[in-house]
Amino acid sequence: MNKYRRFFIKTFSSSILLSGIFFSFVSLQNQKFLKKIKKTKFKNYVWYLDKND
Amino acid sequence: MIIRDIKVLKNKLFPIIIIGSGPAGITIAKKLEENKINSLIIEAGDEEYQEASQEYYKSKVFGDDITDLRYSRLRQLGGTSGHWGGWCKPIEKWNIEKWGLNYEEIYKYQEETCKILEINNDFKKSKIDNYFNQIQFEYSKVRFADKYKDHIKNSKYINLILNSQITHFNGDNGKIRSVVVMNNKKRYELKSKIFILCSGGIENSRILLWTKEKNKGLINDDLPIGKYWMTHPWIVGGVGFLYKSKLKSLIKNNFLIHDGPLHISTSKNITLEKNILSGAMYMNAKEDTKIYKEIIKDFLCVAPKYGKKIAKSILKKDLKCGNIFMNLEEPAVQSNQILLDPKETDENNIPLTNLYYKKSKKTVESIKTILGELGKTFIKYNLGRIAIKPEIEEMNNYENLGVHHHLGGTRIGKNKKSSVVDEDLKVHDINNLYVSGSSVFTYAGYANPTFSIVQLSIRLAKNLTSKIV
Repeated sequence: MNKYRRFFIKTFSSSILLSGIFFSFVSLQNQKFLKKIKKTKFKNYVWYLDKND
Repeated sequence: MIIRDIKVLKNKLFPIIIIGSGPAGITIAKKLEENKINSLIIEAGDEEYQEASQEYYKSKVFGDDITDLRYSRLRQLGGTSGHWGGWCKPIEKWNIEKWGLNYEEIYKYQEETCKILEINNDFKKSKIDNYFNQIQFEYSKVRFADKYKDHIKNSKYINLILNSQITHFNGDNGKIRSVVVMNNKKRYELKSKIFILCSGGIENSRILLWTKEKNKGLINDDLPIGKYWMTHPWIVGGVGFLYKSKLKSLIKNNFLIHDGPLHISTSKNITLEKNILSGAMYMNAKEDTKIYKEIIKDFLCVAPKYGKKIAKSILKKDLKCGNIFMNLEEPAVQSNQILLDPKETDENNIPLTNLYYKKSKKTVESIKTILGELGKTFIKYNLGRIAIKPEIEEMNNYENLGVHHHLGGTRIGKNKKSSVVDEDLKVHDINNLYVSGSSVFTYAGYANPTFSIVQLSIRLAKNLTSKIV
């Protein structure tokens, strides 16, 4: 295999892998954040609260 | 000058006749005057508010309840600026571009509009996150009648006739030849080269619809006159509190300090990503008000641990707390429309207007999404907490506090099946009839309309000046 070709394959495959990890991390963070939200109905309103509130 | 006897106008030919003396009509006449162009403003009402005159605005509403159309507009010199709230904000760039207009062409009149409305040209916007911005409104105290009455009386170029109601236009072959005016129960026909309709978000459609009835073939039948009528729902979506210091540290030096309530608007991103309409929110209760105490008391019951922390912020006067008021965009729906009543007429025998109006499901969905995302943003950055009304959370309904803005009916566009005027505000296929005012709004946006009405009117006057001079 041509050395330039090998270089490009290596570079692109590692950046695809890294961006995959990055985006799954972001979405995981977001899911964790959404899990922290709870809705509590009280009197005339539905409060948007953090689970630790 | 103010013309007291309409008979003197019989043989006069003004280059431009303007129908209506509200912010649009007076702005146009003033701009024409700067270039020494004569105009005649025809106003249906008197110099001051008259109950009998206001009765001509009687209309029926079918569908959902809105504020009585007799009182949400004024039939007098200065039009509805006689009782407006004075809230000013230009329409967002991305919204104007949805109308098919070039933003720069509107934006270049912003400074001049601020001078007319006697406000600062200070409409900063600061990004909170991807979905929300802190925004700034300006508050005008200008009443067009008070500001310009004496000027008009002494003007050589602006002519004003009061108590004269337009019934319709006459013309042929794509040209308006005259306008029919009722003055003191008598009918007059006035001629001009150019006519500009500036009678507001209901009357502009009414006059065009009646013109269509009286002159078959004059106006293109395809034009959706009276259709795509909109308003800005004004509601209380919930309650909440916000630490000003935390918002300040989040948006750093870009926090907007100005008089009045703290305003937050939706960004273009949220409207596109969530497929919703735009909206703006504000909170403004004082610490000693009942609502303020109730909200804090409620919050202590749902989140006692967090609630205790709030007490310190109250003492530091760091909390913005209260009802979350919302000004919302409404979708442009063809079936929300103004039609002429088939039987009932006013004293001048012009059919009364019927408004067909239904709230849209999309508006409720948008309110819920906006507040839900705002709730998440508040938690994520620990800015405070908000609560939503259950009927909105369950997407059942919303209650309008008042419907005061009348938008659409003669909207801007290229397509003759979905618009009435072109980008230059000229009625399609009629070469000397223009419309200005909130009736030309293609989409509502969330901003109050008067600022944009004045911008569009300056632009129209400038364009007409270059044609005449």
